[in-house]
Amino acid sequence: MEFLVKDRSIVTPGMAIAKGPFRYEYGVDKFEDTIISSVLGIVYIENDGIRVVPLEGKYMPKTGDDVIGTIVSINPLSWDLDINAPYLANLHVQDALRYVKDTSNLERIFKVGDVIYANIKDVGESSDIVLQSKERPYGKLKWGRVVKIHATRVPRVIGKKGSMIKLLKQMTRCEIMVGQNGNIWIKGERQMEDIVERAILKIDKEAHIPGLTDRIKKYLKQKYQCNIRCYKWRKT
Amino acid sequence: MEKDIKFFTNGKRIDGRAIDELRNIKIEVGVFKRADGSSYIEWGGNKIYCAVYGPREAYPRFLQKSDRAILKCRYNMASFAVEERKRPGPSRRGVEIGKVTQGALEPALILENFPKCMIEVNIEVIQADAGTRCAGITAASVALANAGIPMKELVPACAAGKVEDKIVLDLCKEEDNYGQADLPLALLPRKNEFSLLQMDGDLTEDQLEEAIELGKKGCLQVHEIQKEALKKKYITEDVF
Repeated sequence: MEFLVKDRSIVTPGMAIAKGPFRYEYGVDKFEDTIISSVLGIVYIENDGIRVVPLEGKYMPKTGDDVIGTIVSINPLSWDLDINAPYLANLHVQDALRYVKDTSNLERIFKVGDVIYANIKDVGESSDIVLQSKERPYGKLKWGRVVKIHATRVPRVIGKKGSMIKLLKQMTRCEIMVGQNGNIWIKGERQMEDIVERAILKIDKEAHIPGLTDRIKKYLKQKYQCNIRCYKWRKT
Repeated sequence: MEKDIKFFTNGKRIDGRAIDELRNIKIEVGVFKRADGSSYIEWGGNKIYCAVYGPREAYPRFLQKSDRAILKCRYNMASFAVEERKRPGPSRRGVEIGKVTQGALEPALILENFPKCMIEVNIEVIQADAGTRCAGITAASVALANAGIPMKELVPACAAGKVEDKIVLDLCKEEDNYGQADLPLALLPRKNEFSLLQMDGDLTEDQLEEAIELGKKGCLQVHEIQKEALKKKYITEDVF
C-alpha cells in the first residue's frame, strides 16, 4: 500500500493515486494493481478508502436525495421534471399531493415552469427517476428564484454543520432551500436575493480554495453595507 | 507535383525545430459558459475550439443504447481556416475525421455509467496548419475531462511523418503538403495502445516502426501538457 499523491490534491483522469489493495469509492477506477482517478477532481484519502470528489459534472441521482426541479412537461397522470441530471425525473399524481380530488386537469395543480422541492423515491434499473412530494417540506416553491450551481459543490454551500447556509440566511434574511442536485431556491427582499445569488455563484466558482466561509462573510458584509448606503442615498 | 523546398538546413527543419521537437502547444480549459465542458488549443498555427455537451438524453431515440451512452463527434472547419476558402458545411473529410475522433476517444471513456445518454463533442477549427485531427483529439479529451465525464485516461494525439527520407515528429504545413508521409497517432498512455493510427503516403516497415516510436514520445509530451492545463485552471484561478 503506497500513496502516489497527497491528500486533497487535484487529480486528472488517469492519474495514479495509490498502489495495492484498497477499498475505493466514487471517481476511482482500477488498472492492474494501481488505483487511478477517473474524473477531474480532488482526492480524499481516508483510512477506509479513497474517494475523488469531481470538480465538474452533472448530478447523478441517488435514492433519498432532496432535489429542486422545474416542470418541463405534463403527461396524463404525471409530470416530467428537469433536475439537472442526464435524465428527466417523473412525478406521479399519487406521489405529488396528499389529497387529489380531480386528476382530469393536472395543469391546475402544477404548471409547466413551476419549481418543485421533491424527494427521490427510487432510481430504477434503467435510470428512470421517480420523485415524491407528499410530506410537509416538499411541494411547490412559490415566488423566489432558482440559482443553478454544480451539484458537486452543494456541500460547500451548506458548509460544516450548516455554517455557510446559516451565515447566508442570517445576513440577508432570505429563505434558502438547497437541492442536492445543485438547484438552490432563494426567497426574500429583491436586493437581498441579488446578494445571495452572487454569493452562491462565488461559492460555486471558488469552492476548491480553502478559507471559503471567511471570504464569503467579507463579501456579504461589503455588499450589505454598499446596499444600505445606496438605499439611504435614494431616500434623501 | 513536388515543390522544390529544402526541408533541412544545418540539421534544423523549416521552422527551426529539431527532428523530434513539437511545435508550441497551449491549452485553455473552460472557455465556453454554455457548454458543459470546453477547451481551446493553439498548436503551432492551429487554432481549435472544442465544446462538449452531455451526458444528456440521446436523440434521436433509436440511437439510444440501453446499457451505455453513445458518443457523437462532429468536426468542422471554418471557411477561413485554410488558404483558399473552404466551402462551408459538412464535407467528406469532416465526416471522416469526426468518425476517427469518436473511435479515438471512445475506448478511454467509461460510457457504461450513463445508459440511454449521449455525449456530444464539437470540434471547430478556426485556423488550420497541419495536424488538425491530432490537435482536435487532444482538445476534445481535455474538454471531456472538463465536463466531468468519467474516463480511464486522457487521450493525447500527435503526428509523425517522413520528409526527405527522414522520420520527423509533428509535421508543419510545408512538410505535410510536400513531404513523403504523414502518420497521425492517438495514444492511450496507461494501456499503452493506440486508438488512432492512420497513414498517408509510403513508409517501409522499419520506417513505420520508427515513426510510431517517435510519435509515441510526442504523445507522451502532449499528455503532460494536457494534465498541466487541467490543473492550472483550478490552481491559479483568481480568488479575489
